[in-house]
Amino acid sequence: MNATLRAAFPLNPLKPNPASEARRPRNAMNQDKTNHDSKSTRRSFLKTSGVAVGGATLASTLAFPGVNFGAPDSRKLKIGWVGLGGRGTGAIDQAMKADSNLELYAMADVFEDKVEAAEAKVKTMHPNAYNVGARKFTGLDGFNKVLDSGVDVVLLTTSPGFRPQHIAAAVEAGVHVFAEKPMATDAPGARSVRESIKKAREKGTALVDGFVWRWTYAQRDTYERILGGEIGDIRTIYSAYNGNARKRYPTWGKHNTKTDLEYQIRRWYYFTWLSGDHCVEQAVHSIDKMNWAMNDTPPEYAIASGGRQVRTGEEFGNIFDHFAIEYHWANGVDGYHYSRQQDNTEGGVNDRIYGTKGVYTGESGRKHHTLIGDDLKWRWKGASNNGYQTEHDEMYASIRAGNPINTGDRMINTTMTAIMGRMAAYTGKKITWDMAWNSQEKLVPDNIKWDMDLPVRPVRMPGKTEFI
Amino acid sequence: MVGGALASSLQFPSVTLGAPNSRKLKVGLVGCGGRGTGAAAQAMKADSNVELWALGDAFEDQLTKSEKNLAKQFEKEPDKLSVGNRKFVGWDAIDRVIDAGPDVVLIATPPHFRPQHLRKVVEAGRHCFAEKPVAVDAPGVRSVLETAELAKKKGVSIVSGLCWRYETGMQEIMKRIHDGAIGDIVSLESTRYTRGVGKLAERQPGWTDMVYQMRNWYYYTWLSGDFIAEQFVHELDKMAWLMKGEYPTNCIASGGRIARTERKYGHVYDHFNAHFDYANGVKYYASTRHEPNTDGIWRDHAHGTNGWCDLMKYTLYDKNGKPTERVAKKRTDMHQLEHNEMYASLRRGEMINNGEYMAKSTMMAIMARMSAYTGKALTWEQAINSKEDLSPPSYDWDQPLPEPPVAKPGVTQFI
Repeated sequence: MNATLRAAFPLNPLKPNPASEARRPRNAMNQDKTNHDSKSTRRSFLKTSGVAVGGATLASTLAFPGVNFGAPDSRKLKIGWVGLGGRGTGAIDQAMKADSNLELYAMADVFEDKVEAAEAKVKTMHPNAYNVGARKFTGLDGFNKVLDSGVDVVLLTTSPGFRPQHIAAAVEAGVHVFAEKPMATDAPGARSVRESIKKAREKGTALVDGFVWRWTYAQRDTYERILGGEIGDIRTIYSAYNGNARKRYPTWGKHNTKTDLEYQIRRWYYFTWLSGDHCVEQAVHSIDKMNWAMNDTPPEYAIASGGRQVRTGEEFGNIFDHFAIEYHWANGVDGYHYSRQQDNTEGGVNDRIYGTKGVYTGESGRKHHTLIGDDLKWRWKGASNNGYQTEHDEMYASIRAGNPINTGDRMINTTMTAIMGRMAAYTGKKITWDMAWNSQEKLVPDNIKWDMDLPVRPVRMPGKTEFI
Repeated sequence: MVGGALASSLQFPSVTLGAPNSRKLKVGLVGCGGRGTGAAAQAMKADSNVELWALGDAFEDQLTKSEKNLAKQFEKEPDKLSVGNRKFVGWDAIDRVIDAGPDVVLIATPPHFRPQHLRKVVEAGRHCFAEKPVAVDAPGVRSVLETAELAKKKGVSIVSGLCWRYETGMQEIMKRIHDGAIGDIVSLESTRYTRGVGKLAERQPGWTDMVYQMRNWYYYTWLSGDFIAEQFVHELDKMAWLMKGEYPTNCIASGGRIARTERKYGHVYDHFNAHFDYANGVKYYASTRHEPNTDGIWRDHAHGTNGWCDLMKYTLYDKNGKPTERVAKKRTDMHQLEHNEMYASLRRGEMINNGEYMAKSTMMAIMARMSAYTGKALTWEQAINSKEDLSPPSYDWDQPLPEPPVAKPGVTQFI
């Protein structure tokens, strides 16, 4: 896709991008753009571009940081990168492929070895776009140094526990943000992100999520049909995210880490404060699709059970290995989400939506999507895309077009929906949406320091673990 | 139902056919715990001309407690209790109760014993009231299905303790659903989250493994089937009823033990989550939990093409989610009604045979348990043909029975 097309792209997160629309002049695109908020109807939501900022007049009065408005590829964008792990490496590769005039300008990780490895990888993948120089930062405040170095865009791909403070700092600095999912691991973090979303909207900076299926044409086409009523009124939504228990960080343990904090960050996935647990870190993709089917109306409450039946060793921290979460929406729709991470068990990642006129069956991994009803027999056969790429394509296109995307509302709602389910499983209590948002439980410690005393919290036990 | 002419040609054992209250019916009870004692009292109230004739239990103290309890309940109707010295304790209590000559035998022992006890009762030509569930493993279910056929041949009744089938409001709501009130069924949901049951008995000096496990039968899968079979079978059976006797083709389940983890709670799980697929595309999501001090929830929902139903509230909703009708106001005494129906049918010379659904609904629970324990998706065929027999090597009080391990999905094998 060339830059001109990208600049003219209608930025509808619900729609694949047919070429006919891509050629429409930008002013025409702006005419049918309306502000969408939680009160907008489904129909108007589908019609709008999904971009929160209003028409051209408003947009042109905002100071889009670092980018000359309306001038495609007007200048080189400097990318900052915080959190140099596997997903981050994928994200930086996709960013570099999304726009022809980017450079990696600064990067940071808490660990020096991660910085060295990332440098080697990027130099191999995109030798001409590597311009980090001395702007390689390590330590717990590396993200601040990246932001201070004068980047236009930052990719936040650390472990999720750090995401709220990173988003807050990046939005404050006025840079465009790509933030991997999930956006937080606890309610205080989620509340902070909610404020940052507002601020980004006021500033007109991009805030783009990594909920990959939202950027995948197959899902966009399918969910547009579902929201358009093709299977009738939705009654029940089901999702499963059942997989194995991939052994992570085989080389990192107590023997080669010096402090509590280092040990936990090296093995971050296994600690709830850092990852949110697997239902928030991984299965959140499926929970996101459930919310999507409900037009991003969050559930009224969750009840859940879960446990830790197989992955029980101390090296696996304090997360569960299976969850069963029941969500209930105010309009009577029930949602059932199952996830597990246990080796040698039946896997399967799939979604089903039951409507009064038909049933949606989807297997995202296989790109298999069908809508079946009495007078309905549809199977998705469109051109497929890589959503991980498209999320960056559309982000940079929107920045170039002077209408940076802000997908914050849905990304924080989905994150909170997953956290609400986890809270219900951990405590054995019915957790409402308001309870979850107002939870005072702070999992992520303040003033994190390498040598701080940070004992691992015991595995939660429903009925004993309090909801706070 | 067998009609008059046909019925008269059948040999209804011990009950004189077609003659209302023709003679006093003798009832034997095997398994004198809380539920068994309750069932005996309900049997006594179900008909004006019945008497409790014999008692049997593995433990003498259980039997004595039950007898005292019943004596108190029926102190104004002492002729209802004619147990005399027909009180039998030990492994062979079932045989001795049957030999004492009752017309009806109530079996309310731990579920492990149901298949063998039911077979003995039916083979002896006695009518049987069988508490739920009726087995703990697939061989047990297969045995019960055979016994159910045998009962038809012998013309004896088998009434199941799956009591919702006898509950007036539930009968009415099922009738409406079967008549199409919510259209074609799309999906089903059951959630039964409770705080579980307490520890049954602390281990006493001198108790062998067998005594200890029998005293704490709820916490051992070989005895109770785990709680998804022991209790949640009610919910599974309601949906089997709603599905007009159709059973799922596939199941995938998860579960574990996160709150009730101490060794004194044996090795059963404290939560299960299962989903079932039916041949016609209907899906059923079922969750249950026994965890102290957690929030309770108990609901069964059925979604159709034309509305949905909250079974436990007897309420029908239209497509827009608006309640249209509540078909019953309050719950009837289903534990009593099941016995009323049983004796009324016996007096009419008719036979009730609940054998098939009680066996298959039990199988549904066992299927989900096996899937949760092993982490494997199972077909109905695989599950019902499972070779896993949970019986102990012998029924001997000195039989060593090491504490069984807690099942680990991916490690525990499907057999």
